[in-house]
Amino acid sequence: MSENKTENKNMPFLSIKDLKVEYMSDGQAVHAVNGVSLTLERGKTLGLVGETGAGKTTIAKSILRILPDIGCHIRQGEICLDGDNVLTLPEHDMRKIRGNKVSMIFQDPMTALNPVQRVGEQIAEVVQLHSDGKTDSEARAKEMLEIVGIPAERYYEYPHQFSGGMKQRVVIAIALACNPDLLLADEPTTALDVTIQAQVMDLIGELQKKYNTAMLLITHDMGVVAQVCDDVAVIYAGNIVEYGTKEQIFDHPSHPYTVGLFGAIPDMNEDEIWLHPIDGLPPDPTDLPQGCAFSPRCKYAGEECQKGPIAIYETADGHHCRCCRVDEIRKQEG
Amino acid sequence: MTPVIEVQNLKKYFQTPRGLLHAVDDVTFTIEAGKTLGVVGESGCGKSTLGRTIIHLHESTAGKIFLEGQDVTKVSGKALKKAREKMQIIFQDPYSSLDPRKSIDSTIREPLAVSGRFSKPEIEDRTKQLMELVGIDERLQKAYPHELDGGRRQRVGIARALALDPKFVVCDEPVSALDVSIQAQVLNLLKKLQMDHGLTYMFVTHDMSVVRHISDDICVMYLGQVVEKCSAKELFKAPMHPYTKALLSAIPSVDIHHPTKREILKGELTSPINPQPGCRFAARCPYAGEACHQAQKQEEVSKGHFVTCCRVHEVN
Amino acid sequence: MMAGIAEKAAVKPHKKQTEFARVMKQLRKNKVAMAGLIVMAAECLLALLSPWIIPYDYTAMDMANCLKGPTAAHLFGCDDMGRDIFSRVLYGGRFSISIGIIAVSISTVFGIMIGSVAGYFGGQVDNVIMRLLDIIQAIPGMLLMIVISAVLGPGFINTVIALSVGSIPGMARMLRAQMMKERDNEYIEAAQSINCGRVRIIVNHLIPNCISPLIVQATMGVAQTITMAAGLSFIGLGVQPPTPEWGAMLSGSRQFMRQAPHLVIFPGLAIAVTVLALNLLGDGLRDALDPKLKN
Repeated sequence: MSENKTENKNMPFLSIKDLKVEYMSDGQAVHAVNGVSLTLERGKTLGLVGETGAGKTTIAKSILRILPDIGCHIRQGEICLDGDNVLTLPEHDMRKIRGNKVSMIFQDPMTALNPVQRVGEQIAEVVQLHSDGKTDSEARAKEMLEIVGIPAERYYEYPHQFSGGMKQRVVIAIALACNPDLLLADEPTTALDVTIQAQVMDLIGELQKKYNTAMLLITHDMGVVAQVCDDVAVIYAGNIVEYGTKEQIFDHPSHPYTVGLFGAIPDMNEDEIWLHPIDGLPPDPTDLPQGCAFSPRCKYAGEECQKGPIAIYETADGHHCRCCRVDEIRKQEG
Repeated sequence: MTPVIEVQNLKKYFQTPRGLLHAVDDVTFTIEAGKTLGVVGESGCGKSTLGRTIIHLHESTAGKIFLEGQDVTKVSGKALKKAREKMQIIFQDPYSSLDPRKSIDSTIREPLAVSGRFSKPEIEDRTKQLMELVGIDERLQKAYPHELDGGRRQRVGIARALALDPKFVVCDEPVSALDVSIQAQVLNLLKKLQMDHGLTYMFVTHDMSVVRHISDDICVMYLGQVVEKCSAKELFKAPMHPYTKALLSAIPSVDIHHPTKREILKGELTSPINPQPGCRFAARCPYAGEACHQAQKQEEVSKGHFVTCCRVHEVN
Repeated sequence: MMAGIAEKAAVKPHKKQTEFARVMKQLRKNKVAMAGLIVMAAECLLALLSPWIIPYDYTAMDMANCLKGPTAAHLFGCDDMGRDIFSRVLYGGRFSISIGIIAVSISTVFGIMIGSVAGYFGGQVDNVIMRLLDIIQAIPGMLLMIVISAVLGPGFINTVIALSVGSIPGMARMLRAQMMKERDNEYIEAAQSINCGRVRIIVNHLIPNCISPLIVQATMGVAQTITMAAGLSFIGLGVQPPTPEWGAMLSGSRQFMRQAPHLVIFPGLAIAVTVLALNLLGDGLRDALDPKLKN
């Protein structure tokens, strides 16, 4: 495995190729992820933006291979982490990666911690699992608590004695205790108040810079993306519909869905009576339309949009858009 | 014109094993007909309790509530029933605010059935009308909540709240649990219903961009107290209270070329149980001083703009 | 701009799915539970039709065949009075199964009433009710049943009462626990905001949402009750011979166990099969009613 690493110095740290994941629910196949490809360099942050059911969490869980065993299949694809295809590794090797090389911050801090175990012990646990018995896990846990801004004496307290924001900090401490190379953050601040969100995002940003951790940030909040991400991937119905740097996506959104998302956000500076929602509802993942999954809701949709799977068009310098009418749309909108 | 809702010095305290919880402490405001008062604040500020106390889901501890000029603070029995028909609420969580064992037409029909004022055919008609009003397909009338998505469930909640033609509706974070594109649909719906039926809203939320869009006036709450109250435009143009400033600056901006300059608050919320006298924000306030620990007074800083801060002039 | 209000996206044709239909669908996936259901259904059918299908009258005595083992004429053999055991087991199902179902129904109904009052009102009301239930539960179940049965005397109705009283506290507690969880839900607040009275809230909204664990408990409870009824009959209380209640049959056959084991085997098997079927069904129901185990 180590020989591969020197060869692949030019390869991105994380590379997902054509990932397809399906769930079985009530006898029907739920197409959660439909051919997603993305890359991430060391130390960079990729924002994965989309709405509920788009497949973002499934992608993160696939990287860690913590999808439910029953009823969930990774149909195809490759997830290369530092040269190794994670999907083909034996479980024994995966366990060495989880929490150590790759860790995850879950969405709901209220339920992410074990209510009957002391907070410090939960951090120490991850250290113990990945050390060779040489590291003093308690000391490291206390160190991590201080790093996330919690006094070390609170090592011995239980989760219910902490507020939501502090619980999330503990979750961050657990995630970063072993200096992972990749952090998967699944909506880490959605459940928090906006002032606490600001604190927590700052903390994550600081620690990320300090340890040069790459981050895959899953969120539906464009504001958070604007704050911390380098690159952005917009995902709809299990497919990446637009992909580019933050500047490309925010200054020149090309896919009608991305444009719609920005349009639906109430503008802080304008006074409008009516918002501009995207018509209709997200598609049923058991019954995705032929062709472009967004076409039933798209005001630019034409016949070719429903014919078959839409290819990705690279518009400029790495700005990808999965829309066959992107040039016409650009001309129309000026 | 008499305002639809007038609240004077409203207090709601809860007795807990650890002491007296000051959930709502001395809140005063009025809302005119057809207008929306936005109430913003973070967890524990009491905004949800405020809404529920006004519509009598909680019994107020002190203060007065006037509905269309009538004192409804301590009503009970028939009078309470009548008052309740004029004041309704839309809940935050579309998943827990509908009875999972009832089909949606049954949920929408219930307020009509309970009021006893309508005959069966009238109830059927009105239920159909309501479903159409909020944009739910008639074919879904026998659906159960778990078969619908969040946006549709929320529409059911709105239909239920409007069944008895209320004058005043408390919207308790009605779009917080919804995706951005669905949020916009539901907000537009609420706006349209307000315009068509002359509804008065108290819109409770923690989302500043939503509150700006939908409110005429805004009340900022912190730990049970109103710290700033003014028109929506004014609040975003010239916030005065240090908490409001911090709140506004914490909103991550979508404008990547002009990121907001953030005022990071230190520490966490203090407890609303047996609070110390004086400003409850002082512990986290970057401008806190000695005087902040005395009881605070509300000042009218400019026309219609009220701030509760003893250092408001130095801060600005 | 206003276009977001009505849904333009095609609405999938709606399949009405009641809770009952959903539960049955889940249950059908569990082969073992379905087996239990089928066995129980068969037993109930046989018990109902028994007066017309039994080959011999269950009291008819044929002293010539006294204590004879299973033969072609008498499938399960004859007992010490020459009565056909097959007919008695079949007919006895009427007693045993109905004792189980009636006793459990009574304890469930009372349990729901008491539990909902305690659970909804809380505070002092809850305190008083719980302490009364504590007193009943402090007495060991079997002992309580024996005492009540001894006081009331033997017989079908008295046995049913004795069996139901002991289970009421358990049901009440279960409902109370569920109710305390559910009553803080927003849909209950919503019901209050539209002027629903307390009774309507409890009956219309809370009880339907709290009843699932009681259904499972009731199913298993029928099995337990049948066993306990057999136990009571065995010690001379409860239903008495010559009534062909399975436990009474066991009791009456004690002295003949060595020489004619078939007197004990067949009624015993009847009890065992019934209890097993009910337990399997109960387990399956518990899984089917748990929405989290959907797959």
